[in-house]
Amino acid sequence: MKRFFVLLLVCMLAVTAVFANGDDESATGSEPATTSAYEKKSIAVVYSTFTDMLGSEFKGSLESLAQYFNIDFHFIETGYNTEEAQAKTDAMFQMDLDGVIFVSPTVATLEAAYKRNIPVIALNEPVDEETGKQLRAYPNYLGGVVNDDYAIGRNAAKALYDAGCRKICISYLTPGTSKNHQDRYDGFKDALKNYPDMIVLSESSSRAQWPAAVKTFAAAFPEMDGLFSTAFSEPGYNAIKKNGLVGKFKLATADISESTADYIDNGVICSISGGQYNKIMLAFAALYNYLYDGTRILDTLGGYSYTPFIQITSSKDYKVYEKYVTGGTNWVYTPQIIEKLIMGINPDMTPEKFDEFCKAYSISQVMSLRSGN
Amino acid sequence: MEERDIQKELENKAKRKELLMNILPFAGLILITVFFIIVTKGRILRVDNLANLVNSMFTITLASCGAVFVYAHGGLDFSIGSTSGLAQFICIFMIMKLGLPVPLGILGAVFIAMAACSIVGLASIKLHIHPFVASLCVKNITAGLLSVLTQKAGGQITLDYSRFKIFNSVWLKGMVLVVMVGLGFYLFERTKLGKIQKAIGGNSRTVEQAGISVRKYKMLAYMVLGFCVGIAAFFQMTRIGTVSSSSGSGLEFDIMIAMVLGGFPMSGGSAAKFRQFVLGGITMTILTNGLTMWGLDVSYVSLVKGLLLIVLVSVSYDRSIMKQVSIISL
Repeated sequence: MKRFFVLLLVCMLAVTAVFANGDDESATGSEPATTSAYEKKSIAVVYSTFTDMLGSEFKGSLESLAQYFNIDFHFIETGYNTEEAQAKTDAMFQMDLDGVIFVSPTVATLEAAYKRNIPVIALNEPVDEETGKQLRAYPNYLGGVVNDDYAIGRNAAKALYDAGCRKICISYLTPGTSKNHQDRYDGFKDALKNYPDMIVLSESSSRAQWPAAVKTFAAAFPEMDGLFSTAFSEPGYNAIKKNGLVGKFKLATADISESTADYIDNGVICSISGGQYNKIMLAFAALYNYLYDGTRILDTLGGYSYTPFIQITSSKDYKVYEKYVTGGTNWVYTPQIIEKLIMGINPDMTPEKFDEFCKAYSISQVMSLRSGN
Repeated sequence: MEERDIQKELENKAKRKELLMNILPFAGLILITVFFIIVTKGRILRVDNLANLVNSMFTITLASCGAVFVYAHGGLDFSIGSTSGLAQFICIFMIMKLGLPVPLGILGAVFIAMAACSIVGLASIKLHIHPFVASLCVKNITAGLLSVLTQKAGGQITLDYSRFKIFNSVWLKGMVLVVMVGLGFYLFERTKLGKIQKAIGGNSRTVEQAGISVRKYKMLAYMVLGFCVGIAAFFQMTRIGTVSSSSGSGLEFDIMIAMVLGGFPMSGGSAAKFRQFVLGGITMTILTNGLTMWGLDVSYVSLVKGLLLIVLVSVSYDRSIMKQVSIISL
């Protein structure tokens, strides 16, 4: 029986290995590039997980570009263990890579990439100045296409105020964990100065324990009529439903997940920001500019180009968002749109136009781009 | 005549079992190495990657050198991840913000780690709190402190990476590893300090009745763990180059996985061997490295990792200990 069990496991492993083998191009979504006009490139994409909604949308967005640009993408999940993340990053550099898209590169990452002459592009700004200074000193650091997280907080405060909320609570990620969340929090707190009659009852920081925060706030402050959370996820929505809190307060948050539509429909969400899937496609465009002919498109922009989130405040907004931005088959930009952002291919493109394009991200931009294709 | 035969047969059986127990953890390591040599088409053996492997196994092996003393007496410390993070913060703060020399920074890291581990030891020994609970409390304290301190320092502190390249040299790390593993092996297998830990894990009452202070030796084990975590924290800091509120996270799980993969008995005792922890650490490092180099579709990585782990454990883990435990509980 034991031998049978071990044999079964080994067979399962072998079958999985055959199906999952990275050398099989169809596994990564990169079809044999017989139709592509471009030279084959290999790009690693490093993110904590590609199995949550944001991660899988990041992956899907890039895979939609793979065939057209003849790219072999390697998706590396670092998880949340710092030592394991570094070990995986070091192992990744053993692959024959042409470039790396790294959500938050460290100096150690840049050093490892520099030794192998691999360009790196970021999706987040460095948390502190010293890191930024050291990163910029590496010639293989191309900068980054990053989100305007500060605007999320600012927009959330306005949305809560406009929805009539005057007694609110704030739930945010443990300080020092993520600059994105810190910016969202700072944006919200700064915007509160414009609404002196909106009172903060309590604040709670945690490592993404959104449901616990909801339950605690609701129990301790029954008068709470608004909640700003720097992010929210399915367990948080479940906590609202299970504790009978639908209709008791309005929620302004970020990061769209599976139940978002339901909670917009039932009136819980008054503002949610999301759709940041575009930034990985824009980061790819910036990296491809360099891979194509050495163009460093972000250098004259101070190293970073900022792109907004899409703010959704109604069910109608969400339907449009679902149609044009997300949905698993419909990615934000088509390969042809991305191609126009490559200066070596499109002589009309300039760093300034690239920056304008990044900043103009909205549902209407996506709709008009799609209608032009 | 018949009695002698039975005796001889039992002795042979015991010898065969001991031999098997000595070989099995190596079998897991060999199995995983061969597997990844095949699937990575030999890339895992590149010189560059061997340096990566040394770098990757360094922290876990170093921390394991201390953890073996605690786990051998049946204790545990669930706080070493956040303790390592706090030790890293103190070290980087002393060096980068206060401008103190590097050796003082290392001393700072070692002191903090020893203090935190000693608190876990004291709470479990003096207050009779289960080490799991005690270490969870300390984990919260150290993680909280790290969070507050990093926030005050502007989110994170970054090392002047160019100044610390020497500490990332594979040769230096290799030497430190050899010295620490050698010292750990000697202390654990050849001196009273290690032997008594195993004896406590087997039956602490007997040890007490033999006139040996169980409390003292348990405490010493936690201090050794703290020392090793402090040294590991320094090197982890120089490797990653940045200290933030998530620094050190997950080290405690790595240690536990290494323990299982190496075939280390979970309740400690006489079957505990120093090499089990080290082998487990190496196996785990090769697993992480190999899975990344294999280039698997990311959706399959967890599935394959799970399958590999269960195959490895079924090959290397000494299940007779589990049988004994279940018989006793019956």
